[in-house]
Amino acid sequence: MIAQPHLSVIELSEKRKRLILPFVECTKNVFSMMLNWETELIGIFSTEKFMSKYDCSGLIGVSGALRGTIVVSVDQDVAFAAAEAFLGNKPATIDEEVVDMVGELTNMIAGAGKDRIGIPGILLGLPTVISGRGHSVWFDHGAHVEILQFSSPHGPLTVEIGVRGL
Amino acid sequence: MKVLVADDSGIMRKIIIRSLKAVGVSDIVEAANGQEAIDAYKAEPVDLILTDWNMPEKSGLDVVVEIRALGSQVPIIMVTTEAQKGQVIAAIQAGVNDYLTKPFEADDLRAKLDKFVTV
Repeated sequence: MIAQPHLSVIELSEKRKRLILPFVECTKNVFSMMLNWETELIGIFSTEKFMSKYDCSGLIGVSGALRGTIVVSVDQDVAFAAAEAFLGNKPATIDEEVVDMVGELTNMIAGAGKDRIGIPGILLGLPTVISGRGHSVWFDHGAHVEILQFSSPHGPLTVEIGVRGL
Repeated sequence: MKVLVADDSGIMRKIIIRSLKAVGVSDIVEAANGQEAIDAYKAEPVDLILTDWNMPEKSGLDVVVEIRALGSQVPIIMVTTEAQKGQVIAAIQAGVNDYLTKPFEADDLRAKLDKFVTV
């Protein structure tokens, strides 16, 4: 069951803020610094699972002081526009370069977010990317999952943090 | 001037190479993991290395340690998402000359290159 979205982080508990705020800030920074895109947080959901509605998702495993998975999921139009911004040419399909780009965006968001949480000893794996409309990502049973929904100039994207140990 | 760029992300290598070309460097070697970077350096030493930290096979820190163990003083810039103080210190202690955290703006990378690139 997916809870109703929060539109303001002011309403969130301190525990949720501690997890969410670093990733909100880092997501905005990554898109702003690397692509010169402005992204806006438009919703925050807390759930026990995640059903992706976008086309391409980057996943990074979290271990050490926190355990779980961080997922960045982007709409195809976002992926293509980002690839065009990085490479100078717009891809026609989700190809190796698009997958690589989504993986690197995920790496940067997860890495920067991890550091800003302020808990030492959080380790990240290397990114894995899956694609296909309607694909699902199931988090570990019992993980606390936050879904951050953003708008961008080229379409929607989400950052999902599903972790235990916070 | 010859530069080695090591990152498991092809996109990130392209971003770095674009900046290198903008400052006049055209002799560039690419490596997609740490072991490739070490092998490439042993095969033909370069004048500057830019390396990611988290890569398959061997990490960027392994690259720094192994190249310094060869007695090389080649300038090495670590370009990574790892930004915790302890990791930066570990990289510097291993022999990194400079450190750039991802994400970065083009001007940030350009400023780092300006310190080491002589064309």
